[in-house]
Amino acid sequence: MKPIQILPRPLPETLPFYQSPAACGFTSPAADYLQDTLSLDQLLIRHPAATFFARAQGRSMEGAGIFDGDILIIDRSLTPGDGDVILTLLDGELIVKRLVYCHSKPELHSENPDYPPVTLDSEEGLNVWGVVTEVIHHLR
Amino acid sequence: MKDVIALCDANAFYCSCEQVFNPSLLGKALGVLSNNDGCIVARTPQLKALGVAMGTPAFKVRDQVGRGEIILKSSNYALYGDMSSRFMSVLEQFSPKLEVYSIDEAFVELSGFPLESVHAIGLDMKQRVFQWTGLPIGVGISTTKTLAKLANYAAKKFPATGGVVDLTSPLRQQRLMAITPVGEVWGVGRRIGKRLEAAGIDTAAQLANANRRWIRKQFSVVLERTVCELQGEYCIPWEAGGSANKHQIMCSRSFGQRVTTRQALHAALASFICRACEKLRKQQQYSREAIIFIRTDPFKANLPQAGRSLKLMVPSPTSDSSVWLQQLNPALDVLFQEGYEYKKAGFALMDLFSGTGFQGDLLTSASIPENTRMMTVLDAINQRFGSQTLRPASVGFRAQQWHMNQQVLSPSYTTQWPEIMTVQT
Repeated sequence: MKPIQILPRPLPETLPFYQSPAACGFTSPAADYLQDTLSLDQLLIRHPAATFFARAQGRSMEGAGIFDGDILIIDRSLTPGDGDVILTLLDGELIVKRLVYCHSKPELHSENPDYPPVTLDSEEGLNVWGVVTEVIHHLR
Repeated sequence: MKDVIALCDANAFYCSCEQVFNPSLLGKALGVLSNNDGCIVARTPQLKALGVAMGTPAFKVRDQVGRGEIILKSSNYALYGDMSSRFMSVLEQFSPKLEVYSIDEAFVELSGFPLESVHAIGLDMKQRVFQWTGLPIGVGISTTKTLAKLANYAAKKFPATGGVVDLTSPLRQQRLMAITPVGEVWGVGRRIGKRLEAAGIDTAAQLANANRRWIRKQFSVVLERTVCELQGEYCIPWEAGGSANKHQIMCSRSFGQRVTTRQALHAALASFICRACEKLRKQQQYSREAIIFIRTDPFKANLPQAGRSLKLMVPSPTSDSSVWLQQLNPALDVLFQEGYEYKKAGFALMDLFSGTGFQGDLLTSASIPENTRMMTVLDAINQRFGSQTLRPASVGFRAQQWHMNQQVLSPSYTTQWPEIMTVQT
């Protein structure tokens, strides 16, 4: 029997700020159409309890759109699959690479021709910390 | 239908939190220190294997730390608190009925599931908490809280269990209790354990079979309840509302060094006021009553002792730090005495109101005051640029002597933007 799935808690939202004192003339014609303001959490975070942030350092993933200093959103709840960009443990260090299966052996690929891929012996050699789902890149 | 309860707790929780974000600590003899870096309050199995007991003062292992055999970390409660709430919200996916028992453990009700499936659910909980948060946990499942605790003890004690023990069958209960020392039973402390042993009760099984009336007469009604629970009778009630807001917010610290000046006490208390009000605003509550106190070190019997506390009131409920800061100088006029070495100070907000349900009084404005925009901006800035980036001048400009000793503090990886982990690409 499968355990009950409870939907994740509602995300922290910004509430609309409105004051309409009763005795002050006409109420705003927009009052009936007031909706929550847009929340980036809602757009970018699917599993709050499993979502973490990290700052990227280095240039090996520029082809995937990850530049030095970018902020990564990492979702640990996702099962990593072929082609996912992952945060993984390699030689005791956390690094960001693309996971590629080659003849069912996992490989860690960079997205920069200057960096060769790392082939792992087996699935056991792969120690994934989380799946990188989004990149926040500051333009100024 | 039988009650089924799982007790889930994180292994060496504080250490595990550190290891999630700093994998170089995995497999190491790691300890986390109490406030002010005093003594060891959490240990990895590798540290336990070196014979370092719980509560060992940090200075006693100084040489091993120097040689790199032991790693110590200051306690990082911002990190542990955040990881704890992640852990609890993963558990909530399994059952709507959750009792948060402490920062690193919770009872989860699994009644209604067929008994033959609960072991698989336990494994699923353990797997999912680890995947989502990186925290290793143990799960004990049984029909009463005391038995669930016992199952959890077995999950930790015997590695062959894989960290999950289903103790719903009475036969297995009896077999486990026969080999469990009575002191390991939930609710039996060291002192009561000694007395029980003196009376010839050495194992959990012997306690379970003890005469209830004798236990009540010789010990207490509380221990009698433990006996009932060991016999499979559900007695310890469910404490609902684990996530409910607290009724009191306390911010207090023992100082890293003795504090003697009024100015330093003022800075310390100002920062506690700011911190308490920040928490209050976070839970969208208001208060109009507070307790403020300062005291010397009662363990330094050779020094002159002083300690005073004072109740403060403001006219209407507020969550604005500046309202309480205005009360600080008059309060210190009463509390502070020259010539003492102060060790601890604190500020507690009492009698918290939610935004709704407050009865205004006749003389002041009837409604709860708006959360001033200044406070909203202050919270937003501190969230973005780091705690205490923006603070009232009374808190002071640089590290003060009253600050906690936290020499080996890890970053607040999950709660402060400037401190998120850095990863190589």
